[in-house]
Amino acid sequence: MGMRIRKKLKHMLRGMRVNLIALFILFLLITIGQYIIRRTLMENAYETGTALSGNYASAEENALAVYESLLSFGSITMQNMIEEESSPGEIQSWVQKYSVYLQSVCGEKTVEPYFLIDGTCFGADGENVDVDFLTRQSWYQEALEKNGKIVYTDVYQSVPHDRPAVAMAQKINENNDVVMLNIFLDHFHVQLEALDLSFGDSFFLCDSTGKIIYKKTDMIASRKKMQQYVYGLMGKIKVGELESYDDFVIDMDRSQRAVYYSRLNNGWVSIITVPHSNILKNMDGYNVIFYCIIFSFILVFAALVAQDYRQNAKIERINETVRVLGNSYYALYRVDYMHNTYEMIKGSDHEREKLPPKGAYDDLLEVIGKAIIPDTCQEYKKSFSIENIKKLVSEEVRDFGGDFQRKFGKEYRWVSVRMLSDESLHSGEVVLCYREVEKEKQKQLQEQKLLENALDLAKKNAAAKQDFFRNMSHDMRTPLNAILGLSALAEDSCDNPEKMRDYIQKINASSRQLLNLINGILDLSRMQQDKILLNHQKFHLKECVDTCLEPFFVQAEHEKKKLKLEFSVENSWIMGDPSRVAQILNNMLSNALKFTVEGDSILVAVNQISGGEYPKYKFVVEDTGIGISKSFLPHLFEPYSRERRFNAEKEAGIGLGMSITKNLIMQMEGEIYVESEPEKGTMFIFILPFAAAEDVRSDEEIEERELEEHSEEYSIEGLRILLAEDNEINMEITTELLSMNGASVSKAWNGKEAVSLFQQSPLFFYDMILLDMQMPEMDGCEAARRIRTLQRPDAKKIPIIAVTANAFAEDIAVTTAAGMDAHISKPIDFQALCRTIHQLRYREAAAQTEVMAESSARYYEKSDCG
Amino acid sequence: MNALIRRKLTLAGIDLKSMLERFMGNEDLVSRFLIKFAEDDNYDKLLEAMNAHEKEDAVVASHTLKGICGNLSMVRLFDLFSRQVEALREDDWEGAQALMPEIEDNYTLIMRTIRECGWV
Repeated sequence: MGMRIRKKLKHMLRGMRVNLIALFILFLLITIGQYIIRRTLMENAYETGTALSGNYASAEENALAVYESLLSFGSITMQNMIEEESSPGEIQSWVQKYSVYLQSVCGEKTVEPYFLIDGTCFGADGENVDVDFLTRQSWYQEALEKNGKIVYTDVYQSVPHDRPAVAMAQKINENNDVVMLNIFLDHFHVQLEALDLSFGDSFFLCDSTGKIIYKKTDMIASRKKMQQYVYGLMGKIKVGELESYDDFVIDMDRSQRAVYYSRLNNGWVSIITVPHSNILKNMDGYNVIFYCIIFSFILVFAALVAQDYRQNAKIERINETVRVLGNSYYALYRVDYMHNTYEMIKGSDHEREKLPPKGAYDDLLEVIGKAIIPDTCQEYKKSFSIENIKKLVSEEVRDFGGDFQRKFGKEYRWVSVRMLSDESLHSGEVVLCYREVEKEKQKQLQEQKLLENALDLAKKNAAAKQDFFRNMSHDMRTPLNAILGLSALAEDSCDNPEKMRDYIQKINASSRQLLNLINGILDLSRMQQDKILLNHQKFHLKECVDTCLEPFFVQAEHEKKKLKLEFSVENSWIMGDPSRVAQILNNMLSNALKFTVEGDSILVAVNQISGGEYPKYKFVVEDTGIGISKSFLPHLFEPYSRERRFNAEKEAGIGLGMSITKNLIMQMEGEIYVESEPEKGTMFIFILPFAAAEDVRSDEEIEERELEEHSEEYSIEGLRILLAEDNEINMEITTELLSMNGASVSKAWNGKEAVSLFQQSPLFFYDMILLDMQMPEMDGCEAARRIRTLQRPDAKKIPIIAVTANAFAEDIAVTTAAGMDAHISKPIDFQALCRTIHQLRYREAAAQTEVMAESSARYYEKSDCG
Repeated sequence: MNALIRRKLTLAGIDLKSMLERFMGNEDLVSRFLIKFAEDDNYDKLLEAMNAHEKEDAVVASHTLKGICGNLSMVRLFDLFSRQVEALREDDWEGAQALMPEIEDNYTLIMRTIRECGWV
């Protein structure tokens, strides 16, 4: 994880390097700019400061010039007085006047004049001054040396006043007389009131040793400390450490200060110190701008980084997805079909070993081809040849491919190959991708096999059904033919009653067989449509079972088999469908009799196994017959199945009985079991629940009404019938039948004729139209449709009956849609035809109850077919 | 109509009883229609259509024959033609073709019987 983050970060930094370099350059430029500005500011300040200190120095010199003039004035006046040989008293008096004059010019007590004349000192207040002391002073010696030039002393502590002072002196004459002015510094007024200094700047005027003569500063310190500081400055000035613009000192507030200075002619020094903060004050503005620029740049940079990050994250996600997609393929190639080359984006081990990352496509085809199962190899090479790829691309096939088996190590596995062409690809290129689909393919093959099996099964079922129908029609035809043949024989044997009875009995047996068969088919088809209805009623179980068994006792006796009934039931009166119970027993007993031989015994046992409101009854039908084979036992209840046994003496049945039986039992919410062993016998056990009924026999049940159908005679006498039929025989037969019964028939040989005959007939002339369905020129349906659309009052009402040899449901639906009222099948059952005609006419005439002519027609048709 | 003829017709697969019932016991009609049947050309049309693989024609011919045989109570032929029509409708040409030998047998038997009865 950490590794991944580091990698990600590295990747991001690489993506941002241009930005980073730009940022660095900006920093550099800003730094250089700042440096240049600082330098310029410092230089300017240096020049200004130096000039200012020079100005101050000159201003100082100008001020001193006043003192010098005053001194020279005193010196000249004294010289004159000496030359005039003035008395000491006169001198003293003038010195006093002079002193007053000085005070008036320079201010009180700021200046003290002294004259050393001829070994005597004359001061302003006439006090006695030690002349020897004065003559020993350096300024005296210097004044003598300089011979008339004004000399200055350094600052010293004036003895009588203990005040800091400087002295200026001048030799008056060759007699070594000297005038000296003692100037007290605490009242020293150099014309510097208007010093042009900013807050924080300092100005010092000091003598050549550095003693402070005058200062103007915001620094707060003791005099001594201040003096120390200025000494320090002077020391640096003397050794030339403060010559450059960027030299500085650390002041008492520990901040940097630039020092500018100028020397006065008398050796004094004017010093200006400016804190760097004052000089660089203007830089703050620039700095704000710089910082703003940097800050905004950083913001932009951060935004870029964020955007970059987001974009990268998005790209990374897409990349991840693409990688995952790519991972599902074991090999990916880009193929340039214009230049016949490939580029391996991802390759299987086999191909990586044998192929360079890029190369001729034919080599790739060859190498891949070798791994493919031999019988598909040729087809693969053909499908993925450059020519075919070109063709596919030109046909705008974007996804092409298929599955084949390819060798992985030693085994073949299924692989899916796709050739993808996309406009997002470089033109002239397609992507080939290979994916292993072994599992899917196996599943698919399995499913296919399942489907095939299912199809097979369906086919088998269909075949079984087909077989069943074939057998059934055979089975039906057999008794039918027997009946036909035997009845013909019986007819011929009118003179031999014995023979005739025999024939009739046989006819009867065949008829029963046929009836059973048909009943079975009907039951099964009803069950398959879930249409069987249980007719619940109160009935006596014992009576039902007895009635049911009666014929079988006769049969068993006849066949020399033993049939025994054990009946042990508490509630014999129950609610249920007795006919279905009888059907089940019938089926079981007929099977039992069918599969037993002479001497075998059959036992029917009925027991009540539970009481209450819904008692349960157990029925056992056990025989000692031929039994059922183990292999057939599971299929016993399947429809259409019958165990074919060559040793079975009798017809094995239609294979529906057991299926019907089981269905019935299930429908009655019962259960059925079977146990059987070949050659030993079979035992069926079934349990049926019923609802208990009261033990009373109602009159209704005792007196069973026999509903005798009143066979009505239907007459078609006098009816005018339009008959359309294309076949001559059929036409004649039908015509004959109808005219024999008193109807008059108009013949039409096709639908068109029928329509035109009807059209030309007077209104309500015909009572009925019979249309054959299949006719040349115009079939029955079309004719009916045309007749129905004719604009005459009888067109809608006249009954139209379809006559056809086809009795399929779809045919009937077509006739109804065409507007026909009923449908009658060929061969024509004359009675049914008459009934249908009668019903249709009755409906038309009475127009009251809805007689479903069609359904009744179908009913008759069914009963005819049956 | 004597017993021999009746028997012959029955053996040829004609349900004489139902036919007579249809014709209200009129035996003349029976012979008349059987003669008509012998003269009918639909069987030739069927053969032609089956040989030429003309499904439409075959259906029409077989269907017509089914109707005629039904009306004349030729139960076996009726059954055979019914199956053939059904097979043709379901496009089961082979099934329809497979019925032809049996149809031919039955048809020939009836034709022979009609001739033997001296009606043709």
